[in-house]
Amino acid sequence: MKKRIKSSRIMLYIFVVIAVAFTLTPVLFIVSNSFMSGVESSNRYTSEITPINMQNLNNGEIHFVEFGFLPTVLTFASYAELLLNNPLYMRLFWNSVLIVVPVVIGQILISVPAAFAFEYAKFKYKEVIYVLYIIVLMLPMQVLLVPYYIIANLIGTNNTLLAIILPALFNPFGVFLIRQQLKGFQYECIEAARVEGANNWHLFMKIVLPNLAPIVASLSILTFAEYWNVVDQAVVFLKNPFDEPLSAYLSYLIQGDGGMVFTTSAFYLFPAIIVFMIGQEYLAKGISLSVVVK
Amino acid sequence: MRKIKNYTIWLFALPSFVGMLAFYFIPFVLSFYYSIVDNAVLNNFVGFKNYLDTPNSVAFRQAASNTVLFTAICVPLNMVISYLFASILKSVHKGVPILALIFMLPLVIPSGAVVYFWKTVFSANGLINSLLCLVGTYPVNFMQSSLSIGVVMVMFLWKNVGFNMVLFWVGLSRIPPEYYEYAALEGAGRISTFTLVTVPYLLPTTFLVMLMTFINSFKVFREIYLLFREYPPQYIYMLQHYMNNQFMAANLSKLTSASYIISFVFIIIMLALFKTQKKLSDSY
Repeated sequence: MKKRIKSSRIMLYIFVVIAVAFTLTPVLFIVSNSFMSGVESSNRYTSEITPINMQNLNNGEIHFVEFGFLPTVLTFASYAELLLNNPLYMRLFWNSVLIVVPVVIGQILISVPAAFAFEYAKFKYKEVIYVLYIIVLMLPMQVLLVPYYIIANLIGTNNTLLAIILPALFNPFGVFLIRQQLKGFQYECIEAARVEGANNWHLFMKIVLPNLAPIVASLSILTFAEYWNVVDQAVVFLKNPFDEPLSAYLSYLIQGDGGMVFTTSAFYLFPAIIVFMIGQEYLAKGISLSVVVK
Repeated sequence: MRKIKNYTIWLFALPSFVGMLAFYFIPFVLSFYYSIVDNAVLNNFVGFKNYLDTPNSVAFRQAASNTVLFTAICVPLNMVISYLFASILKSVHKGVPILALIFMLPLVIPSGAVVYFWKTVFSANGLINSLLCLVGTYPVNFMQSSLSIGVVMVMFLWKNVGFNMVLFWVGLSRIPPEYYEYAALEGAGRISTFTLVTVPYLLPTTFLVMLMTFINSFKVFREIYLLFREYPPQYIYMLQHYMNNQFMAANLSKLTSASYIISFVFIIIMLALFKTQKKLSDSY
């Protein structure tokens, strides 16, 4: 019996190690290769035979990628290119920042009170309106291309970052997530406060909001992750390549062979990891609290 | 349950209402106009011709069948894998926070930042093919053949399984252990313990995971776009590509009729989903 438990424990550890390795390998690969010189990485990962990589080949062999984590020569040259020499990267990075910051702040300011109203208001058709929100939430973004285009033309935000930012502020995801959480609250608590004479503003500020910290943190991380990763909207709404966020520009680099793609990728995932680290303790907690057991 | 009976509470939802009306609902209704004219320049009224043409076009059909195939496989697969992994990890007691942190990481990593890794692994001269050559078999063209949808599924699962697994993990850890002890005392087998204790308690989690996976399954467009830009191999040409390309070609009539058709299908799927959820949660 004891032996069986021990061997199942070992299997469990093996499973955990494999799962962790599978999860982290892509990230480690990108980050470690970002310290490679451009010449080395493009010779290693190109599909073509070059004067350098052919030295390892016999006649008639094809060149396979030389997959690896350690650069032969460690260099920060491509980081210097990214940060100092070529202003394009910083400009596109800044575009990403300009999209994500207002969207995260706006999502919180708009959807938290809206979820409060949805949960506690008494109105016959509120669930009908809510279903409309959920439909918008579920539709692929491309279904809404024409509506986005119509409104952007109307208010003159076409070809600007605002064409992405403005609809994103009202993305129903926040309302959905926060309302899920509010459903788990004790209604008696709200009732008692009302009996004591609290108005809606007091209810919201003093009773509901303080209890929402974990889920608001989760919402911020998920919204950040979503809009730090803007690709679909950018490729249709921004005609000028200099207006693109870096997340969309990566598609050009990916078509090529190594070189700047590692450094740009590594640099771009860094802020996402920072934000995640700051708020991570709330993430699982916040989301799982929104799973109501009734 | 009595709700708050005054209308000032709606002031809290006002910004959201205004935004939803202005940026989603009203433009969506207005866009209907494009679907009943022949194109956005001449504006000749053609009735419902676009609604008949769109489902018959080869590109739309290809895109729709790829999207349905992808969603129908990936959503259940993602949920089953996440659940199985979570139920295995349930017996881990040390280092839980750090493991949860690692498994959630892929969800916040921007797609573009790791796509190059998948390209190096799966390309014609990539890692897997170099290993295949080592053992003496022929290389496989993952990226340009019908296998490409499998590559996209791997990318999708890598990004989503971890997060959903953590959700299931938390969900499982909240089921009071007494329930399992009681079930064991009553002589319940593994299957009846699962259906009578685990399933009812995990239902809300499962529903949330399903909804999020469903929403995220359409965002796989990003990975495909980053790999192939506008024109991927036909096997992974999705509805999202179809609509994007119609938009770039200023073909608003085709695009809007497709939007309306897709929205209609979605509304039906969603109502079915919510009915099922209600039925399930009522029956327990």
